[in-house]
Amino acid sequence: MNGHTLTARQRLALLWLGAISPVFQRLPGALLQQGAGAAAWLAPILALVPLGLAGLLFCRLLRPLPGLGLAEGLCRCLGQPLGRGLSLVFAAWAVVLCASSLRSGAERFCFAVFPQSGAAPFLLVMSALGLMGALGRLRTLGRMAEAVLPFLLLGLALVLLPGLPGIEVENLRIPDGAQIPPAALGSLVVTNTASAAAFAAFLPGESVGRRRDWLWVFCSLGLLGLLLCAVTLGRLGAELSGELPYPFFLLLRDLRFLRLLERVEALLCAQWVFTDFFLTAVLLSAAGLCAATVCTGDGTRRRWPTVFASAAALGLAWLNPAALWGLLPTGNALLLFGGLTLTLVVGRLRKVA
Amino acid sequence: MKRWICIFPALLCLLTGCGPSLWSNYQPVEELLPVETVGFDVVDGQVQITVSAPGEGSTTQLTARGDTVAAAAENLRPWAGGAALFFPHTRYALLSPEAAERLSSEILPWFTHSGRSRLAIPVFILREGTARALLEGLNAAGQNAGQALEALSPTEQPVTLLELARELRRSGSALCPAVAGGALHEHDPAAAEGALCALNAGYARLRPGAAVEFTEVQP
Repeated sequence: MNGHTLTARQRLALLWLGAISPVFQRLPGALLQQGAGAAAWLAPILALVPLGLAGLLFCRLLRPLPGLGLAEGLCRCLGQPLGRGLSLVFAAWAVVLCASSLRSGAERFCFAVFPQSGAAPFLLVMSALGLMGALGRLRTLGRMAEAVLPFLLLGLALVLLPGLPGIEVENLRIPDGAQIPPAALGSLVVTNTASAAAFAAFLPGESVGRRRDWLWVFCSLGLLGLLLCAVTLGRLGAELSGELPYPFFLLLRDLRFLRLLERVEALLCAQWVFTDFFLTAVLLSAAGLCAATVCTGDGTRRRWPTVFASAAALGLAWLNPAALWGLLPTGNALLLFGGLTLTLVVGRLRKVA
Repeated sequence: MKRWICIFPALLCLLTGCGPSLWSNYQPVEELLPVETVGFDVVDGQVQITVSAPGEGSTTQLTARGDTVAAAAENLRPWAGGAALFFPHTRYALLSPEAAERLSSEILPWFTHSGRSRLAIPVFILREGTARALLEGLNAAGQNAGQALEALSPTEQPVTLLELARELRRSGSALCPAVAGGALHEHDPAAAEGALCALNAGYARLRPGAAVEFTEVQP
């Protein structure tokens, strides 16, 4: 037992908490942009298959690596030169994802809670918090995730469940079959969106955990996406949801508890700070570990690579390159699923995975 | 790491208003002018916003025009006498028929982006006159606009801004309760000149790109 490896439960908690931040920000908007319309709620259901497969992929990749992270797994499966090269690519990609997460978190805060503010204070504070989390002992970060998880689940229940009675079934009715192919394609969008925090697999963990735990973590993200899409589309309709920025966060403005308490959207939005924090910390830790593995052969001396990754992510988020954000879905799918599936296949052929 | 856990909540405090640009989101409560009812008209091709903010003993009413809803709202600021107009607790919206045609294109985006108001605000369409005239008439009669409109709300759930926008997009038309001003001095000679009361005036049918139609009863 030491502070530099996570338990299986901590790793899964970090993965789940980090994943819900992009899920709530991008759904159902990303599905509506694809033309899924009223059928957008189908996408998270269809995504249960690729999400389940993703869970199995990560479980399978980590099984022969007790006490290690995926960076070592890449080197083991692909050999040192290729594994180190791919680790470096993953480190760079984690920085890009972290920058995107910082930027979108800041913009969400400006829209939902502080409309007269710029993004700068949020970028600075969140990158500083993420760096602190990433530089500390991984076990502590994991314990924080375990402690926050029940409170966040309670918060999600308070946000989503009161929206269920307001759902109009008419808004969820699929008018024709033309919207089903975009919805089916949208299942990959859901998988992609939920997979940003899969970088938690790069953090060293003592044990892999049971296969059904990995399946459950990934599939529960799909079910959360379904609930989110159903509440948003059922109350606003597909057309209006597609036009509004952050439609779910707009719905929070109208939330009332027992006709006694209202206008609590700022408090509810504040809990998303935790999800942003965990995602940032996981991505910076993963970037630092991957870079340290390339430089030193193991991930022990990761302080300066992590600091450098944090500075790079902050700089990118500050510059806000829209063209780069446009590449995120494709790049994520290619690297996280294409790259890792290929790694597993090569590892199996070489009989090391 | 314990040290960081201590610093974490301290840094979170930054998110509650210590930064210079965050501070502008905060106003002392005594400097806020909470808007209860907001009226939209179109006069000479310009958007005219009238806000009614009841205070202790009197109601503040302000009107301004602009080329867009956002510009008109911005032009209201100088008339607020140093107070900050506070829209998040707006209870009712009054729309003239011409303004109702700009519901989707201008009014809803303003509410979502700048107004920070709830979107489940009951909406009334004016059958005659302007929102400004009705709010001024209610004020002259010593009536609170919010309470007068609340008394008009149909027994079923009133139609909200969100529902109107949703129905317009989904089915291409939407029904909304209509309101008209009734001259009080016709019935009560003691009433002030220009004093009005709010009256139910049937329903307005809204369609994108078409003039508002009125009906007496809900079809």
